[in-house]
Amino acid sequence: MSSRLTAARLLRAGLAFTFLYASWSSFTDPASWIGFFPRFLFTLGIPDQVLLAGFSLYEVVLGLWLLVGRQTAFAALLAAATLAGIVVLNWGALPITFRDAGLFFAALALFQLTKKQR
Amino acid sequence: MSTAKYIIIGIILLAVVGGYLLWQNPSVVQAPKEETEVLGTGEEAMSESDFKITYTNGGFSPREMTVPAGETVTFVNESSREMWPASAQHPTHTVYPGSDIKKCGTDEASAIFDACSPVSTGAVYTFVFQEVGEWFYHDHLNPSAFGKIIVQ
Repeated sequence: MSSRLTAARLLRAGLAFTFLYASWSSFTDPASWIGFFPRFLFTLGIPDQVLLAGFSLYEVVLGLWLLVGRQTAFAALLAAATLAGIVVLNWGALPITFRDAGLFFAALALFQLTKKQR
Repeated sequence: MSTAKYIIIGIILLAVVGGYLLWQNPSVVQAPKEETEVLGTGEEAMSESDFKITYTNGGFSPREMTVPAGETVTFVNESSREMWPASAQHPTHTVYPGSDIKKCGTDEASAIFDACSPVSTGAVYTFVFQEVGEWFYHDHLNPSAFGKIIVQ
């Protein structure tokens, strides 16, 4: 097994775990997660439960996509965009979201490892 | 595009956007001398304190406050949403000695630095700080909003 393949599998597993855990935790402890949504969403009148459920579903899909390993480069890019969004939209919570900044670069690394070579 | 370019672009993007957001945020207000309100007696007097922190849609104000040990700090919710003041760190709330979100709903709940439930607009949460030190806190429902109590 090549070291590139092993690295990609490890990154896929790590990122997938992150998204799947966040999804599960937001169901079991919604109060801890609702505050990470951007404030403007609350002004649109979308119920908190809908926001949480919708994003949790998205995280489950993304996590499973990373685990399955099909078209991984696209999943990695989507993961990177998601993580960047979390960091940027919660800049005031950087003491908490700094880990997401690290995961953002891990997702970029996965993209780099899995994109088709020209 | 080379790997180095991806990394550099990523860092620049994070720094530019993050820096802009940080620049837009209000700065930390240094330990204010709170004006003492003349309060009535009985329950009203007991529900307020000389040390008052207001929570608005912009966060806690002042974000930093110095209080003597044993003083009561009152968090007043003047925002349009519920608040939930609690000790750092989100989401476990274990930094202030003895505090832990797991104690919410138990007999120990009243003794920990944790509102333990959402505080409605117009309502208050009070806590008596006995432990000397610098204690960060945040809104459990909006972790971007945080502040610090310095107990001397």
